[in-house]
Amino acid sequence: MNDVMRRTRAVLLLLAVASGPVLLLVLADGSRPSSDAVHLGFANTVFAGFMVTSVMLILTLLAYGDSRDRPAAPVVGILVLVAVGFLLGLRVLEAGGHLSGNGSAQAQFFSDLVDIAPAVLGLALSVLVGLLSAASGLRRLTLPEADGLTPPESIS
Amino acid sequence: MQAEVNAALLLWLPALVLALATLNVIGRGGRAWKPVAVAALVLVLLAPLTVPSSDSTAAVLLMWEASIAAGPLVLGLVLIVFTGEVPVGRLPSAWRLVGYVLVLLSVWTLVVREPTFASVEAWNRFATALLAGVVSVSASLAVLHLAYIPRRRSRTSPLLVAAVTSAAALRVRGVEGSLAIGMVPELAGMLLGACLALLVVLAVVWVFERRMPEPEPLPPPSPEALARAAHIISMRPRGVLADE
Repeated sequence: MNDVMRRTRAVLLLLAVASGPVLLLVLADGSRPSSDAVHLGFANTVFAGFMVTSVMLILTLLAYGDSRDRPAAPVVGILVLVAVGFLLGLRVLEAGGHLSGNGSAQAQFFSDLVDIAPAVLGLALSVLVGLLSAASGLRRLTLPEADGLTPPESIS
Repeated sequence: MQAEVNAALLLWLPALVLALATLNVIGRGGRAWKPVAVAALVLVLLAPLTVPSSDSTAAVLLMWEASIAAGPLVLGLVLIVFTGEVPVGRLPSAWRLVGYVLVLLSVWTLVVREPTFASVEAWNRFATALLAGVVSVSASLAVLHLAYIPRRRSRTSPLLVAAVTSAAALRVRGVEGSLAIGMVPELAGMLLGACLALLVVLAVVWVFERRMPEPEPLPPPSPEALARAAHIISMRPRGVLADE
């Protein structure tokens, strides 16, 4: 496969991934939020995304440290995640974000989570729908074709 | 204070237990995790009836609302998939029509129906994200099949139909400007934050893996072990990969 073909395929794939958000922006109609509000929402959700993912990844690090006999790995991981989370929180506060309209950091954090939850739920479901649509295209495959295998010639 | 305790005991604690139990059910946890997961899920779903109204119960109400659209959609697609020539779990072909009807019903629900339980704003966010997400995921999978997997080129039509139908549904439904312009950066921010955390953890794992000592060389195999290996290899069926 030559480089031009490879690049064309990669660009097509990127365009396909971006098609949903682009369609939303094209079809958007009516009042639009101010750029400050958009910036605020972006900053808050970066922080919320970092915190939620960090909690899940700490569990992964615990399993990693156990399976690879590296007990210090989760401790180091937690320390680094806390340090980065602290710096990120400070940066978000400096950007004028985090406590918009809420009394405390915790209240803002949970408010961000609840705000973004419908969209995350919708996206998670869309992945399932996409995979099932792909599966409905494969439903006429026979087993060897699906596996990319030809039947064995003989079994000795 | 009583309201907070109620919310902690009847919603947040079951939600945490649900996450833990789900991981154990998927992984290698014991059988006891299954009833625990079901009980936790029931408690979470009943939270709007047991816990005073709050942002958290609003999220559960959205799950109720979402299941009205998502249930028929997923069930319909499963029926369509399993009424074909599938090697396992094949259903009678008459069920395919039911599958198509359920999918159409859920599209109608997403486009036309007003929410009963959740707030209009939350419902709009959910439906818009779902439809836009289906456009992105289906289009990406279609391009993957067309450009990267030659033997699946003829199987992309359902993905293209899903992408076009979702785009049309989004157009008919309409997209509120304040919602769309706000949601795209928010989701991008969520993704960026998640990637940052992933990067940090990958860096930690990389540092620990780099410091892992080289494995000690194994002793040479004994003649008995060699003979046993030769016997096992001679017993293998000779399958040939079609793509090679």
